[in-house]
Amino acid sequence: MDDAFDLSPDAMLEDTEDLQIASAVAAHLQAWRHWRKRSSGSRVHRRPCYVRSVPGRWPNKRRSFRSGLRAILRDYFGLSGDPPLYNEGDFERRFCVPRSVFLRIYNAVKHRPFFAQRINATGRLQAHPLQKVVAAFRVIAYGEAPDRTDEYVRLSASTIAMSVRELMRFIVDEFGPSYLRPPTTEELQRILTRNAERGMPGCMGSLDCSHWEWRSCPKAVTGMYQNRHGKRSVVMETVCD
Amino acid sequence: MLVSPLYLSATKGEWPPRTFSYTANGTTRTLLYFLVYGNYPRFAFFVSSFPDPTTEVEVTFNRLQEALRKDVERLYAVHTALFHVALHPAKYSTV
Repeated sequence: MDDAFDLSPDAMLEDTEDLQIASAVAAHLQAWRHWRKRSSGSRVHRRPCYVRSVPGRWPNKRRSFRSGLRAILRDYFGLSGDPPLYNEGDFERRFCVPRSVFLRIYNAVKHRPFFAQRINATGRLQAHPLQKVVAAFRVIAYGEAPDRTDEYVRLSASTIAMSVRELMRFIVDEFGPSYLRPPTTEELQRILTRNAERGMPGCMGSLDCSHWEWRSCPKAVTGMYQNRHGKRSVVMETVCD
Repeated sequence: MLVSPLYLSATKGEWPPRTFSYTANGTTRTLLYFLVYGNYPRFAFFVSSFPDPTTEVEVTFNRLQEALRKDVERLYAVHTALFHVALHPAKYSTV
């Protein structure tokens, strides 16, 4: 589990209990500090959405986190020496990214506060980072409700919603500066040369905008985001060179 | 459009860089431009096609402009086909 690039199923399921529990406790404390910093950092008082288990609430459902992890490993990574059930084509179609990209994101994110495996108050190990990343990828790729992903990866809908949000935030913070940026001088020169050959000298690219409807728009800003259909939407601006 | 980062950086002079120059119809210009659809605001760094082309020059220009703009139209098709989450209303409370 210590090796950052150890992706063999045996390493993911190995039973080095002491090491695993020690890292899980550390991850839990880290995540707790993370959420606490974020909630106390904002000036506006917010209702605590994700609280611990409190009296008067339903108990947690007895999901077997481990069975969800085993299913993912069996289907896409191979379990106990067997080859994976689905091949590379299936992997790429279902996650909408090649395996190398998926593993790169997974390796970058798996030790982050939210994603690292944690331990709860009763001393039980919680979900594996692979489950959270797969759940987030399924929600993004299929646009399906987090509730539906629950059936496969065995995580609650709120955990999946949090993991989607955390993964998106992570991708934007980590990969945004290197990929979401204006072209450099050499790239711009190349674009200009290519567009000049196609008959448009001085053209930097084509620009288009598209609306994405925003369902949970805060009520205070509904007027700002109203579109021509009377609904709330965000405008995405794209440049293609 | 008037609050988009692209417009703000263009009006402040940060982007596009003015170090490149090109010559069209015998005039040398330094302001690079984007190709857009006809209903966008008429900014200096936007170039749209002629609304109703009559002469042969206008028809040829429209053909070239629309051929290049096909790239970005396809980009949206690929984007929504890959990530279906963009087909549904966004469920997140912040942008």
